[in-house]
Amino acid sequence: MFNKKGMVLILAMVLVFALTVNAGAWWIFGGDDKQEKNTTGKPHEGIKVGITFMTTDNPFFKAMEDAVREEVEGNLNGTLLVSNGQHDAAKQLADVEDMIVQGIELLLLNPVDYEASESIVAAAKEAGIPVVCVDGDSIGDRDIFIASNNYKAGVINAEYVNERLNGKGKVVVINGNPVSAVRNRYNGFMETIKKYPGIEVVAEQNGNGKKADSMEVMENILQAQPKIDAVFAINDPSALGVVAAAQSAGRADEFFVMGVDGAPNAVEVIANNETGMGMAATAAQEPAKIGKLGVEYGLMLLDGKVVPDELPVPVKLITSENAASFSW
Amino acid sequence: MDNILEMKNINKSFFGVRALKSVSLEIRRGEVHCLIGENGAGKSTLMKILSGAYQRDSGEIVFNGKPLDTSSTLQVQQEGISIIYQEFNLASVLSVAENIFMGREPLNKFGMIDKEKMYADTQEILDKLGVEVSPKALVNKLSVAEQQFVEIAKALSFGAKLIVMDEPSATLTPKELERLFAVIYDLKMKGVSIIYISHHLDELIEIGDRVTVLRDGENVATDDVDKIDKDQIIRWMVGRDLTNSYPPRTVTPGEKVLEVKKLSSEGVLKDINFSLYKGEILGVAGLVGAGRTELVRALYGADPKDTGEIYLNKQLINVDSPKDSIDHGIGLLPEDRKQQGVVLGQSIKNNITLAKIDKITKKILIDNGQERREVQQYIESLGVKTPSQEMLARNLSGGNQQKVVLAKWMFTNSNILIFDEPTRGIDVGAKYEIYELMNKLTEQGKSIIMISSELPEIIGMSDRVLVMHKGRISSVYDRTELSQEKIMKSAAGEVG
Amino acid sequence: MDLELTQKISSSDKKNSFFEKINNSYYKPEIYAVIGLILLSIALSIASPYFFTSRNMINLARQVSLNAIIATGMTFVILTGGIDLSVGSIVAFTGTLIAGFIVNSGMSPVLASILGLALGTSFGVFNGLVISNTKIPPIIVTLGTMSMARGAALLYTGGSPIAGLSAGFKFIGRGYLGAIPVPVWIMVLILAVASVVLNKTKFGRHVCALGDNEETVRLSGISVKAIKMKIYMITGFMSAIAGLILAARLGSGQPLAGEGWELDAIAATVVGGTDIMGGRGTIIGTLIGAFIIGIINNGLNLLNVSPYLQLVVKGAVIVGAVFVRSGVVKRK
Repeated sequence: MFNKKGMVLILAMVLVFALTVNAGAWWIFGGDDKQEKNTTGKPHEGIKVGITFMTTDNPFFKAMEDAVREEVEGNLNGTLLVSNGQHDAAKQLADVEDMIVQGIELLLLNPVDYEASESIVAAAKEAGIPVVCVDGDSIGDRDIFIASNNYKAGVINAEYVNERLNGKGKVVVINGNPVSAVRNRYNGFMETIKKYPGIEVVAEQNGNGKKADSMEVMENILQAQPKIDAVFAINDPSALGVVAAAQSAGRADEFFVMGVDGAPNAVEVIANNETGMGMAATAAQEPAKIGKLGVEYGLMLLDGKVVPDELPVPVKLITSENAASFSW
Repeated sequence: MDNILEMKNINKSFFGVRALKSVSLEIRRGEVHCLIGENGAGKSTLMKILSGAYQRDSGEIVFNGKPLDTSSTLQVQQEGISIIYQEFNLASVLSVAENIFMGREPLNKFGMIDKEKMYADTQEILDKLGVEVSPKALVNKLSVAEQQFVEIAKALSFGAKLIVMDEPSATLTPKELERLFAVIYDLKMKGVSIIYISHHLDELIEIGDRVTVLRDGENVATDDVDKIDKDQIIRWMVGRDLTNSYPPRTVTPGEKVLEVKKLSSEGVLKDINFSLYKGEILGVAGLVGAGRTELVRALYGADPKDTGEIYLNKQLINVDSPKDSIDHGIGLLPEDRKQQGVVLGQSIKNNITLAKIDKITKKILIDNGQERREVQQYIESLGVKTPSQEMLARNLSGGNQQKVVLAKWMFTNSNILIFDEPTRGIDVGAKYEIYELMNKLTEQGKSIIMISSELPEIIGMSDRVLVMHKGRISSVYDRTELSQEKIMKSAAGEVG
Repeated sequence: MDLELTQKISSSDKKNSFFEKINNSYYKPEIYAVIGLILLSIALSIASPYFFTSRNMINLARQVSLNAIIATGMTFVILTGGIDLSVGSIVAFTGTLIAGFIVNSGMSPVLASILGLALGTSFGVFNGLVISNTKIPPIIVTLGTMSMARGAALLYTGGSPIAGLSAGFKFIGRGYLGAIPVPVWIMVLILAVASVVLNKTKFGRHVCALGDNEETVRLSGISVKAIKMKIYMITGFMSAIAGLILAARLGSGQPLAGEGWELDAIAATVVGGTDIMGGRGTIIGTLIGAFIIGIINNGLNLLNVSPYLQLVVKGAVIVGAVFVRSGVVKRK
């Protein structure tokens, strides 16, 4: 009869299948075999490093991940574990807990949230793992914070606005979720723009740092604002969302848009910009450099060396004049 | 004689249970062949094998002189066999014509649907059937009978030589049934064969040429309808004699337990007055739409009422919700058992205790042991046939489901039980059991209100009968003065 | 004939297949979840040396606890044939409110927690009121509440997280009692109570019956409105508890916390064997479902699988689990 024997047979088959697939996964995704590779005696060879991003939807973090991978897996023959926080502080914490279980020796943390990441830092420290914050800071007891000078990014954008508008005009600001990097850019821009009394911030909305959301809020702003001279967005995807909204409203030639990051697609648009309106400038960061510095200073920490509390990485303004020669 | 269909030695098992044991069936050209048997006898399995919905384990099917390809239902349909199920297979928001030609609409030279041709073709088929339905009418605007005709028209449009009708009469009024029979007779004259599945023996005898009886997956008998009678068919079906259809009533009703005064509900019920006595079975007869179900639902508190007083044991009581009714010892066994009587996905046990879980609750927790013991008593005293009280109600036959609903109201200590169509959809054998239970209940001093559309049931079981017509009680008859004729006339509004 | 029929039924019952028996509730519906959990665990133990360690098990239980608590409420809702999309937003709302009461308004953590839980639950009460008194489908009502509660959290915080919670408060999210994290203890307590309520009380019986057949329940003298009211309140309360624990775990009230958590809770519930159409399901099944969802996240992290692929696997498991179950039901 079909009953018990049949079920046992099916169970056995499923089990074998599951094991085969997972054994396969072990090879494909790289299990723990790399642990034993410390052979040539090079310092930190075979190190296991974890990096967690607030999101991996942004090419900025992709560039950083690639640079870190190059350092860890290329130069040190080690293992890199990557987590996507998906803008969820709780998920990021869970991911890091899983990394700690896997025995990472160094954590590069790009926190979803400045405050909530305290628990992440605490968990890592409890396990004796040094924490390097990259691009975003944490309220927790991290060892070092390495990021672009985000405040400066806001400042140079504000100065660019003042120059182009000759000290007079209406400006829109597309904010993002208030993580430290975004807050610093915003503060840098706002505090600088205050120095120019002729320039007025007429609208300010949160585009969540995403193109689609920023396009949507810009569409609403365009309805409300008959005259706009410039738009500052806290990152490049937001700036491109603003440009898209302006185009579909038929107001692409009315104002110019600035972002922060220097993302490849934004830089390309800037390089090809002939009218001067639309996507015109970005305060470019260098994510690869941040990632490399993150690993470098992390290794110094492991060696017991003293490191600074913060390490600002300079930014530079990219416009149509210098865009062609710039790349992450 | 010329056979259109020959099914020979069909076998089918499900997980080791033999559903069909070497069943053979021959259908002649142009005959109405009735297929009958209790639930689970194998009727629908056999038809599903014929339709290609199930594959047989062994056996042979010859249709129109050639072996039938039953690899898919579409294939079988194209060969000329159409099956009309109880639940129609129609898209309710499409027109008659669109339903008939669904998936094979005639196209014009631009590749668009040629609506003119589709309507014309549909009209032609409907005319052939002698059915007055517009091809453009939406199916959801049609009566049940008309929808059935659309199904038949669809079958004919496939060039069906054999049409299987599964319980076609279940939801038809007597008038509609007459029309259906006229259509069937007409089809037969045109050489189309019909397999007619029904529970109603009277219909089989009226419309059938031959009858085949299945019992426990076996063909018990096939014979000409002319040569046999109802009793013979029942003997075949249940495997023994059923001497009487109804057990004798022995209870003499006692004092008045319930009195309803001036019960009215806008547009549904008008000035209803009646009484119910201890140990009595009060029949409620009337045509569909006369307000019988509405009356008991209003009485039970399931629907709101505009005016009316209810006296229980001479005390005025307030019944605004089913809960009030239950608290006063009134229980309703609804007509639509599956939707309103039992909870199909729950166990027998949970169904029985559903309405008064407090009775088996100690402090706040259910006492499982006490519950099982009490439920077991009801299962045994009512003869619910199940291997376990954990069996889901879904898996029970109609008769056993009805017993579960009855057990639920006995569990709440109901003294007044309202049966709305107590034996609808229940097998002949199980019907008798329900009647016996009703008698037993009244012997125990309980009173019953019984709505029924089956006049023999009304006459066989009732001590008194209320006949309703257009929301009013048109007459009341005592058991001694009952006749089918009187009730029919009264129900039609010709008396009182 | 009685004897004959009885024999027929009992003999055919003996021959019923394994699958049919499950549907006759001789076996519990969560059996598939149990099998799935065992298979997953065995496979991961082999694939990763880190998986079956006490450290990871504790880690896993803590990660699962919040979803399990919310999914417990969701189980009640789904058992009645409803759905609640507002749970994740209520988590954020409650968490930010409690953090705000403590940090900004200077309330004692105990008072702030009680008040926060009450206000978080009030969204559940709102869901229940609207759903039981109108014909608006639960998916629409709770979709509205999802937006309202999220908006309320953002309004209250002005969009920024509220930090600065005391160590004592954080203990609820980060502390241990014995070797077991506090959130796990809370989960065990809540699930035990919920399981008793569902299996051993009148209310539990009514919930299951209601999901299967509302009309029969109504005609059995049971107040359908009252039951619906209560189950959405319960789910709101469970979400509020989760919000409290999350605030303690993160040390701050996050207005954007809990996004998409309704899907994890629904997934845990249906993977755990609860019928999405209502009527059948168990709390223990939901717990197992929550562990399966948690193990997928945890295990794929341990295997260092791309975060994107993790989403794909999670989705496939959910659909697969429901497919296995519905496929079996269809056999009937």
